[in-house]
Amino acid sequence: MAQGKPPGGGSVTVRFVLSLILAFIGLFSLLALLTGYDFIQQRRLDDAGTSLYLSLAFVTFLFVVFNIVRTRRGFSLTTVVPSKVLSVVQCTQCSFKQLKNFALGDYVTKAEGKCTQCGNQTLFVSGIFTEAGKKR
Amino acid sequence: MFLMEIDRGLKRLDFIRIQARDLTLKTVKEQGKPTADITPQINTLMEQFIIAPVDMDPSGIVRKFDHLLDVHDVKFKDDVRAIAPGASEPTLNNLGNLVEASWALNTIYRIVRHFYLLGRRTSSFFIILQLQALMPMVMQEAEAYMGAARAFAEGQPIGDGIGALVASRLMKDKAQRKVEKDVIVAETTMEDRRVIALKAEGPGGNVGKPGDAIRSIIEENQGKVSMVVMIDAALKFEGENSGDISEGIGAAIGGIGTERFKIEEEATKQRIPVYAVIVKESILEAITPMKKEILDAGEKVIERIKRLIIERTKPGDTVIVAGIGNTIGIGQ
Repeated sequence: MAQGKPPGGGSVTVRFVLSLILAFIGLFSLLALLTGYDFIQQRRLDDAGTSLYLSLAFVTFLFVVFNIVRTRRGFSLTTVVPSKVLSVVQCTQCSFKQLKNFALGDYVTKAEGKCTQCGNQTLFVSGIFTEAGKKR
Repeated sequence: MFLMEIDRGLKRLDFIRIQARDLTLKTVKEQGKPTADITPQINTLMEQFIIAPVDMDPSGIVRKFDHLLDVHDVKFKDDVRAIAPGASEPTLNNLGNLVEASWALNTIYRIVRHFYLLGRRTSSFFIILQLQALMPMVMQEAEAYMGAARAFAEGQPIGDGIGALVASRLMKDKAQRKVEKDVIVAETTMEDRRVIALKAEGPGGNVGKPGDAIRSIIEENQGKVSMVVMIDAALKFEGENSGDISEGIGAAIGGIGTERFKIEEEATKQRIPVYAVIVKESILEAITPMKKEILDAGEKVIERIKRLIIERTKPGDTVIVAGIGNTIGIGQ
């Protein structure tokens, strides 16, 4: 069976170009509002023109902001920072307990040798856990 | 707009599956010491499948499923052994789990791409709409599998292993023996009751066959078992806290259902009550390195088992405590 065409890209580019155009329209509307002059009709802004440019500026900037937030969120999910994993080392004979960075080969119940507190060969890994992962 | 969103999700899925595949290749090369290039074999493993038995006549389907899974396990392990000849048995199990996580990501990507292209080709709004609605869940699952792949590569315990961790604490420093496939059993006492604790053989990534093990222990004791307590991780609902404990009745074990069937059948035959103690966690937490709150739940689970034993059995009774779940990074 023929393999389908791989998904075409361009969604981010289209979004970016669209945002750029809308940002330009928004800025143009803002300039018209600030100067009180309608550059298209070459005359001073009346009430209807002011409302129109105000709405235009609001809608375009809202869309641009919305787009930026969505794009940022989309990318942020691609890079999950690997969280820190710790091993809990405990002594079965005394109260000694220590946290250390997880090392390759560590596992729960692994013997860790001599206890620095009581001197017995009773140290072992009692647990391995991760600290809450953060997303970049 | 929907198409653009799915397209972006698909690109992320592709990125994640490639990351997982690269991690698999790197880990197998480091830990398995292959003598030749393993890329073609890894690619073959990524495309493997199981054909489920015919269910038009459901009688005996559990046995058929069990047989299929046994064949799959043996073949899969042999395939992994072939690409990682230098790996020890626990490492081999970890590598097997890693390959399975990569396989899952590859399969998710292929399915999403299939429906995306189908929707585009047929211009079907409803296919696209359904896919777009499912994408957040699909992405969450993909992220979880990526986290799992990292944990499997380094042999770190995952959230699903909480049952195995509790059983491991009960059987520490006790005489242990192997029963059935990859299941370790040890005897201990708790509140004057004889407790037979069991878990999958660790510290390699393994779930064993607890159903067969429980059946064989009940048979060894001529059915004189007062109760079976099963400890497992269970999916929480949104809004619930991870690491919370719940108690219920029935066989707490996931998977396709074959192991649960065996336990239910044997318990019903011998009239043995089966209790379940579950630790709540999300799908992400279940297959990524174990979080502190889940680890801390271990002690609370032991307290809960003690309470159950005191309330439901008499001194001198025999109780089976089964720690269910993947025992990666958890010895005994």
